[in-house]
Amino acid sequence: MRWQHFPLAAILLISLVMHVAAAAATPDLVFDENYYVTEARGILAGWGPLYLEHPPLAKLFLVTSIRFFGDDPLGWRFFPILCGTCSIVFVYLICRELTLPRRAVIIATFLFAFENLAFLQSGIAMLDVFSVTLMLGAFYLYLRSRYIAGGLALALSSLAKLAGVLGGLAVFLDWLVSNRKRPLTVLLLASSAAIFFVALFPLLDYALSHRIGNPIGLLQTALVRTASLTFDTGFSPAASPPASWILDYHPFFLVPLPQYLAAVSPTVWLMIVPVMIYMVSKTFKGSRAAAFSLAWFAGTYLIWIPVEAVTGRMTYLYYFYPTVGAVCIGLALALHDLLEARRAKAVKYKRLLISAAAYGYLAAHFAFWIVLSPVFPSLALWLPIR
Amino acid sequence: MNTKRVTVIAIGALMVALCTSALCSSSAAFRAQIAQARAVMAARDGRYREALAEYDRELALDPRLAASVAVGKASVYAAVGEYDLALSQCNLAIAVSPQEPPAYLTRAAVYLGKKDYQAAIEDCSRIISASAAIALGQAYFIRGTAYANMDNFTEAIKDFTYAIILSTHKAEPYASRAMAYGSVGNYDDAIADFSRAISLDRRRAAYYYNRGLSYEAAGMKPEAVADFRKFISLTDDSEWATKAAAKIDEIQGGG
Repeated sequence: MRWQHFPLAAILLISLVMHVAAAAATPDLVFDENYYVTEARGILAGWGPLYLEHPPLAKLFLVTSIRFFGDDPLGWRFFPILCGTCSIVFVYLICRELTLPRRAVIIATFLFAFENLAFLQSGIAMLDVFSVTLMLGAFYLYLRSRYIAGGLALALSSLAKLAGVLGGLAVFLDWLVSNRKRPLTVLLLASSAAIFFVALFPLLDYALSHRIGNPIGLLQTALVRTASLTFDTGFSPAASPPASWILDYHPFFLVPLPQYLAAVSPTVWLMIVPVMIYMVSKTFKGSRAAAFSLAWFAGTYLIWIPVEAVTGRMTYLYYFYPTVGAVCIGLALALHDLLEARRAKAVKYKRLLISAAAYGYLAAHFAFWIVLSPVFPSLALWLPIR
Repeated sequence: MNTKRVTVIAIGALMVALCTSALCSSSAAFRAQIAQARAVMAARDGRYREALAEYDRELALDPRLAASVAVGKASVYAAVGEYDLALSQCNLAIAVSPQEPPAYLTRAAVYLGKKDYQAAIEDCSRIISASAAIALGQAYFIRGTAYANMDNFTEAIKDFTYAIILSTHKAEPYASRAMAYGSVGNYDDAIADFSRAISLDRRRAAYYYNRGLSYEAAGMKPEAVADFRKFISLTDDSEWATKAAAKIDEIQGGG
């Protein structure tokens, strides 16, 4: 391994150790694992899938995870953890493709790996981690101009969870901002994604249900079922409208003990709006990375606001998980610029102050990751509520 | 002070104000969740009065949680044997939120406590026919228990098998199916299921006692004695420990 990859290896190792410790400390099913692990067990018993609102790929991952690694906490979560770890590598590779300075690459990877929501989602047996990891893979391939492979990754992301299609929107927006002179690129990616999606949907579904389905019919069923879950049809304490994810700090206990707290790390959440404003400004100044971060943010997050307003679809904070990487890249760019600005300061204490602010922020981010993690004593035990 | 600096300070101040107001407005919902978490933990540790108080606090902090609070209170009342109060809380939860499986599941458990097995079976069957996976394993388990209590061991074994498929990591369905196998004289399968239950929960004394009975019935006396001894080492119940000791004497006395 080259010395330059050492920080990535260290980050991956710390993240993996924490994942294994958290999984080992959590013998019971967590939140929607109650749906997906139970469904996977039913599939293994030959009953077929129960939840037709979700496409088959992520379920297939979970079934395979249980089949090969055992029906126990580590068995359910083996593939999610593996995929979550791959997602960190993809963020690292995306930053490199965006030609971020080396320090910014490491900061972005650090922020993403130790962000609470991303860590939480990649440690439990839900569908999102598969979709997000494949989406990040699609971004990386798109940035490397591998459009057909990118289309395949995008199709697989959408076959893991339909929200994966938002990755395509992010790519389209990035193309609009940065690459409009080459319309064939986005066309190639979109058409290959569509072809792979239609071709693979029935095949993957067959692997679960042993029935050959019509891809259009399967997609229609999934869309109708997913659209039926609206804010008007019932109340879920876990649900919240998309605008509130960035304007209202609304943490939610998936499980209180050990704590699985669905919340964007406060260090990231506080900075979402200012960082995205900064990305707009940098995009106007011609920054490719800022433009991509902005397109990613708009494609995977902002779009939920009109979607929810029009359809009333029930939404959950963890739908923000695909967007975390965009914010982390924006934050890394901002922190890098701050540290660069330090050099221009003539007075020593100002330079020290800037360094302290930047590195103090990163230390606080890491500390929040530990405090919110399942291995830390639950907030429900010691947080005063009166 | 230049314009750029003023702008940065203004944006910073605005952000701080926004974040503070956001945190304040969300705190009631978050505090309600903490109250719920504490109620669940208190109920689990047998501090039932405290659990009920925490549920009341949760409801006061977030009235939208009326259904889940009612289900939680029903579980507490059921745990202390107040089945009528438990039932009224379940009915309240169902009236508030008729589509939610946990209320039916809790009501089925309450019916089990009241020995109204037919009503328990009906509630579980409702969950099973809706394929509500979040409660499916538990529904099969409760319905199996109801069938077993009605001496319908064939249906009980079938339901416990489904419960095992859906809740492989839990010891109780294996132990319940083992009891049902034992009731129909199938001691080999009973021993296998008790062994699986023990591998999932090695501290549960009752599993050793019941496996000991199955070993004894199957004529495997040394294994039965070992299980009764293990039971004595684990149990806090002196009456049952005396019974297990008598079993050992009986087996060893009988050669």
